Amino acid sequence: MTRRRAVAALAVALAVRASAVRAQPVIVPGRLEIGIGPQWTGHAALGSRNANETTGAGSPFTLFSSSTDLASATGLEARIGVRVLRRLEAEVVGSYATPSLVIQTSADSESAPGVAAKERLRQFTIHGAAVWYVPARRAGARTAPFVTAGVGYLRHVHEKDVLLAGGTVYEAGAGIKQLLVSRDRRRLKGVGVRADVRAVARAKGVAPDGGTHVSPAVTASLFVRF
Amino acid sequence: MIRSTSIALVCALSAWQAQPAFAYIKFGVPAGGRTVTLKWSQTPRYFVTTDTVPGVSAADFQGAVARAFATWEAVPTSTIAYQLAGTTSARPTEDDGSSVLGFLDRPDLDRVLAATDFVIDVTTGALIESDIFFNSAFQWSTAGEASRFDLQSIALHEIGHFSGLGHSALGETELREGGGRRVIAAQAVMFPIAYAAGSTEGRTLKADDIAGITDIYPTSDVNATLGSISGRVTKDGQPVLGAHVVAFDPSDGSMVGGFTLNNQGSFSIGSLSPGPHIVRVEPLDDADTDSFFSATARVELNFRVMFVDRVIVVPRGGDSGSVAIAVIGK
Ligand SMILES: [Zn+2]
Repeated sequence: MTRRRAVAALAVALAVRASAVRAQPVIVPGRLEIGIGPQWTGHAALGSRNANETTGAGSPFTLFSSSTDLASATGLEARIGVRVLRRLEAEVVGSYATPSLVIQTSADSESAPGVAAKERLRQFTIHGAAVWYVPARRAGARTAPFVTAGVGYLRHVHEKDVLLAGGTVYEAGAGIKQLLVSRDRRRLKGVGVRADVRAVARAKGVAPDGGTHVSPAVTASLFVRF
Repeated sequence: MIRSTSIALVCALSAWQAQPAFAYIKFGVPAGGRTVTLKWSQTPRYFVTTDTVPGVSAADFQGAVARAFATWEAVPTSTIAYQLAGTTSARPTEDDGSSVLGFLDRPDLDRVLAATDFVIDVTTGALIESDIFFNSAFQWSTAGEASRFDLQSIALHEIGHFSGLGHSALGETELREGGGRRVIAAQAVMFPIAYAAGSTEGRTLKADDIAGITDIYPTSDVNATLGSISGRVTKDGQPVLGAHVVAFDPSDGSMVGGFTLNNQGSFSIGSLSPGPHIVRVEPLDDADTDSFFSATARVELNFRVMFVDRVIVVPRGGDSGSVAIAVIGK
């Protein structure tokens, strides 16, 4: 398969089988894999908070309400993995996206119109992950389903390079790799595409409640194997 | 000065020039051709009188006042400290170089619970003396008794003035039949109208009070750890004087208020926690404007309450950058 075809395959669909049919090469520990591709992360509701005043009896009087969301965003994800066992790969994964922080105000006691105030953030994550290749008889010789889980560091930065907050990112999910080109005797052993779906839990960061909030994430990437 | 619940009063300090400053209003005094912030340059020493009123012994009075001073001293971001010098037979309004707190029978001031006054060196602006009187024409308590005003709460407010703070507008009121206002709720000890008799809610400083005292007496690390929001409020392209601008922090629900204090419509709200904030602007309509500004100031009240439609990020140790706010007439 040519390089052009490999790229096209990534863009169109991951389920497309490569035309060449060769046995899946045995991947020995120590093999390196590098991948990069777009990542979409769904929105996360980061909690709500009332702007309260205090009555003479000590009870709250709500001046207005607010709820905070981190909007969905498409970014870039890059990964480098090394096969540590025949079915186990260790990865270091970095991602970058620019989600909007959205704070919605409502229920103003003096009838101020609610607004959805926004500010663009830069979100960086770096985490370590384990990828376990699941034995699957029905998968083709070049197809490798896997499950993955990881943990790492999350950093939310305001556009003006003001660090807003750091936090922790946890990810777990599953995916599939499709080898498009396999060249056992060359330095570049193969080229393929990968797709995975994960649950991404972001702890702290800009979340006003300091809690952990889960979003779906989908990644498609092109990888090369050495 | 703090007003009793039902009545509007003149604040003796409102005629003073407001200082373009962070949060709340801090007092500025004219001295040597310029305006300087009213503040103590040394630890203020205060005396208490031994006069009593029904329900409050001399020991009760001293204890309540001491707790109120200690509440301000406990603000971790402020260096303010006070020293009890002892008891005195002097009246709390004498200009004798001593700061005195005590009761005074002022039935003529039937809407004044308490008031604070100052003696200032007009050449340097240095604060020399500040007295606080509590009007014994009202019923007082140090134990939160119903139908009696809580001495500690009112002392906490007056000691805010004693320390250089003006009034905050973080409160909601409604007009009462027959005049005056009733407090619905407040989120600043420095709100100019007191809670109803029997309430002890005024014993606890709020974020706005803490930001205010921090701005006047900051600890050495405040400039590096806290931040500010500044900007300008206009209406039909013209600067607005007296707009109440509130910064809301959704991480803890705290609110800190400021005002547009000059002819450019500029405001600055300081001593804020870093991070995203929501900014809300409202006219100064929950208390008489002379509780905040000089009676001759042309405070703009004819505009709608609104939120700024973007998240304002307070940088650690810095300012948000100027936030332009255009309000709309009612
Ligand atoms: Zn007052």
